[in-house]
Amino acid sequence: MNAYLVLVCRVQVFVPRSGSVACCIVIQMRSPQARVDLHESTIASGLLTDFSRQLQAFGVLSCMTGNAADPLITRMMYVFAAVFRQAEQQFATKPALSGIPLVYNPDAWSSEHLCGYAGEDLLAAPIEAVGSYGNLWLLSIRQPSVATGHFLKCALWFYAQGRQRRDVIRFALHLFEAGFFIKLNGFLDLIAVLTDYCTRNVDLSSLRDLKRAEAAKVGAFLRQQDAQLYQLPRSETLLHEVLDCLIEHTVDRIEEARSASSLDAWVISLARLMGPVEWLSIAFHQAADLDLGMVRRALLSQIEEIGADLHAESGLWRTKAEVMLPLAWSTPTLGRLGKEYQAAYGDAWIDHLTDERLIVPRAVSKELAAQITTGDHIDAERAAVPPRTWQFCSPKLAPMLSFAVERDPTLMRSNDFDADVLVAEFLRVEGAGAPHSDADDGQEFMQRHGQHALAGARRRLIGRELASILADVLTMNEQTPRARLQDYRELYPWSQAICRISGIHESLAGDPEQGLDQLQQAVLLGPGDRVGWSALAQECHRRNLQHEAAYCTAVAATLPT
Amino acid sequence: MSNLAISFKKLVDEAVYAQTGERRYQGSVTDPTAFFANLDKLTAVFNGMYAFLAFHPGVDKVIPEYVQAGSISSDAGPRILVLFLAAEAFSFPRRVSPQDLGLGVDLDMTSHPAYQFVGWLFPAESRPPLPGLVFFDDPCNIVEAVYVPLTGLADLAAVAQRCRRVFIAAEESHGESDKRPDLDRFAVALRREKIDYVRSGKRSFKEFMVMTGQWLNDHRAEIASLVSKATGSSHS
Repeated sequence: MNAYLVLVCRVQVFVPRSGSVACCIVIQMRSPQARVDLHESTIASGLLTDFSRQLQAFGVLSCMTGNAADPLITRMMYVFAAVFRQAEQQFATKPALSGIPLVYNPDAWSSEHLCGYAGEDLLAAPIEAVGSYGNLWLLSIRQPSVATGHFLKCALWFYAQGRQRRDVIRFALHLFEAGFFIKLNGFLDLIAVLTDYCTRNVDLSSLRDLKRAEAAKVGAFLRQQDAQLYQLPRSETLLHEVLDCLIEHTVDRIEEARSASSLDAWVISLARLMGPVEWLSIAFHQAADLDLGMVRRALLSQIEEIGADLHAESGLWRTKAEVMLPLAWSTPTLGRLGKEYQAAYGDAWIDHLTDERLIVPRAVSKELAAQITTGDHIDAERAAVPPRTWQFCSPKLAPMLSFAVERDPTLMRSNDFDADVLVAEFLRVEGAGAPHSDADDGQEFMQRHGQHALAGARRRLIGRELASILADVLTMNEQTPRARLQDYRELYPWSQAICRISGIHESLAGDPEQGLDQLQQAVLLGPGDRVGWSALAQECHRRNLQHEAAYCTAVAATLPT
Repeated sequence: MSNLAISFKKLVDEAVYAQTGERRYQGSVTDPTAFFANLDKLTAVFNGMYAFLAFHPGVDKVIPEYVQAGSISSDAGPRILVLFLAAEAFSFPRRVSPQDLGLGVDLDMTSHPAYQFVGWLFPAESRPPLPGLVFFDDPCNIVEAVYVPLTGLADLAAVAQRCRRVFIAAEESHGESDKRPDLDRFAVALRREKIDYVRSGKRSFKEFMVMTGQWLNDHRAEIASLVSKATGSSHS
């Protein structure tokens, strides 16, 4: 039986530099199993939104930590391509991107425009964006200068389409925030060259109205400019304008970071600041040569201090990952800095420290300050412990943070082992022949040898413990106390296997809504795990969510076993 | 569009850092005892004019509107540091919010610090009306400031137009590009432009800051400086 459904919805129609238009579309539904609109599937559309954010997060977090490897990117792109491709095939309307900046993928690109904002300047399906991200990330690793040239080509083309100087600088900043640069140097190089083009009044009129098929002409223009660009005089006023644009944008983003309402938001905000803050820090050290003036220098100086905070944050994540410590957020310098600020500002020290630096977000600053303060005394050596919701990133961000620090999220144990257990494991394998006294006191051993010595011991202990937990959960049944599974989840919050099994148990014997939620979290923790997608498909099927079930099954079928 | 502003104290901190290269572990945390001792270092690195915006936020409403509208930063240019009393601390540079411009809105005119400043600059019998701009070329030493009233201006456009003319006159006070500003030359330019002004008694801005320092601390307020904005020609 045929049924007809009339929907009034907003669709993105390509009208250069204009918004969207409302129109009426008719979707023919041939049977109850016919494809439905993606927006009707809250599970699929929610997951796709989260995966889009994961894609962006991977780029900016990799820039922050400096880790991005070719095999990981290739594997990730395969998974993301499967997730978005199946959404296109399984649902009646293609998922549409809106508002995010894009640059063309040299291998496959449907728009006539080289770049722009999705939904505003060009129409692009997420699968095209995935291709563009993947290609440019790999290019950034294999041929960094070619990747920078591509971004420059796009940015100059964007500039030449009647845009203001500020628009093109903001476009480059938005590309960075959207995670297009997997290497920080790629972004810094782009801004440096773009600044030269913006401040030397280069004639870009020959790039106007060029189409994607003529991109080679933009490349030829760039090669021609290589020889001429630096012969043109640079305008000091225009340089100041470019700098002011970068400063204003950065200052606004710093303020947004301080107002983060969750750990995910805090971590991403800091990573997104890395590019502009690093570039402005370089400008600060050239302030005298660039004749920036006193006030601009003072602005850059304060931003440069923020750069130190960002590097400290990045270093902490990397160090914790290297030594297999829990990837829990902490702010170890709060006490030491707090003492300095207290000397300058008295009781208001935490407000000033929060508003001046990027050490701690406002949402938890007072709570953490209270933990290390007794009366007027700040205990600089005491570690403030964030509330549980501020210790670990959510499953949406956790895998991307883990990949960016080269750590398997599954192996992330939320508590460290007792020092004595660690030392015993170290001595058992690596410490044969170590002085007997080393084994006497675990804490003393750690102080003497440092955390790095124990990384291998932690890895082995985690591996054994996790294997034993997984063996246990696989034999659980309806009579198994739920608390045991919950304990395992708390101990390994980023293990997609534990999360999935917990979701199945909750769904069958506990709280079905929580079960569904955990099964979705499991696919976010391990998007490349076909078992996770199959489990979610089963749950959707059980709930008679046939379109979602078909989508999850299709994704699972495309993933390797 | 709103304006960016920075703490005046941070400018002094930076002036010290620019000259000595010394920055402490905690960055540019202001040392309150060193601030006044270091004020003269700002003069050494900032070769421009200071313009203190004196207004009562409850009465002179068009002045905060002008600041909020955003053009003052480009109107003043890089060689004029526009200062104002901010109701919130500017620990880090940020956009000026309407709340920042509302310091002492509940105070009467005898106790508002901006009014006190003008009252302190001028003897009672020759005290000019507010709002206005107090220009000085040296925050440390005693000078005869130049006060330009901004009274009788009905709306935002009128204030913006007047301020632009005043700032252009102040820019002329530099004479040749690398010279320090000269308040006498500024006064001549104002007279030529037929803009009313008053010369103050001999006072220093530093004294005013000492006077109001505790009051500002108690209110977690401070003196902030608007950041001038470069505006280049648009791309063609």
